[in-house]
Amino acid sequence: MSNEGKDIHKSTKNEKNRIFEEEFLPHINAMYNFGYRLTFDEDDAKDLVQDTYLKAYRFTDSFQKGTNAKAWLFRILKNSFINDFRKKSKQPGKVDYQEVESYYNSDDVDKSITTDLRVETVQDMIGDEISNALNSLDVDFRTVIILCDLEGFKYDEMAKILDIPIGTVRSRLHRARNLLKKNLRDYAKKMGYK
Amino acid sequence: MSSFLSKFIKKFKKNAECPEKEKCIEILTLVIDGEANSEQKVYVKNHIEDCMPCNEEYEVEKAIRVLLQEKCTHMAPNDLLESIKTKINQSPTI
Repeated sequence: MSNEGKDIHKSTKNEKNRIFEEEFLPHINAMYNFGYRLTFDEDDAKDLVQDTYLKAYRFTDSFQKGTNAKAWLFRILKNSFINDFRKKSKQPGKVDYQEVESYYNSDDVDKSITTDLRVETVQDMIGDEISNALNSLDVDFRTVIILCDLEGFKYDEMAKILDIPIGTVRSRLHRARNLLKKNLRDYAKKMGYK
Repeated sequence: MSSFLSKFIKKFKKNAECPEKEKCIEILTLVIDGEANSEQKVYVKNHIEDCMPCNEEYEVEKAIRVLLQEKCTHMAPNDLLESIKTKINQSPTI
């Protein structure tokens, strides 16, 4: 009996290790990049990713096989950032997102964003312009751009990662992209692009 | 059509406003995000062939995504993977 029990335990642990190695670890670069874009600090990003993987290992049983492991990991990382990291973050106090969203939900934002950004101008941006433009966005707007445009998550996956309705994902993405384009257009003007 | 006339029309269209700009941008975005249905895909394909402002918008959106993917990705440091594995092996509670 005791041997059987050990076998069961061993096979569970082996399975856990297999899932961890094959399904979780391959996403380490994307996880690190997400962590870095949230914290702007290499050491903080490493801590965040490490904490996420330790939690993921501990709670492997609650990962549903066949579902998107990357989305599951991103959700843990996002929650770790909000619950554990943001509180002790060295960054200045964050603006409450609801306030930001209601401010940017005014129609003025859309109206103020013209489509005079040209494709040649974007393609000529070979320096840090795009990175600076992304980094200067509020964290919640930055996050949806990272999840959708960098990591290729679908809207329904983003809704689960962020615990928000799909409609909010879409409207937040819309605002975020307009603000990103506004930043890019401002850089373009500064650099004298037409 | 002469090339002069063709250029003139192209320039005119480029400077023109799309009468359905808001709707078009919304659908363009769905297509680029891989969230559009077949009807929306056909609409975009047909529309951007004729509408220069929306064509430009479509290309700008795609160029921004390419730029983001090229310029905004950091690889994890080499020691991070080993450090995670070590922590997992050492932790008695896991």
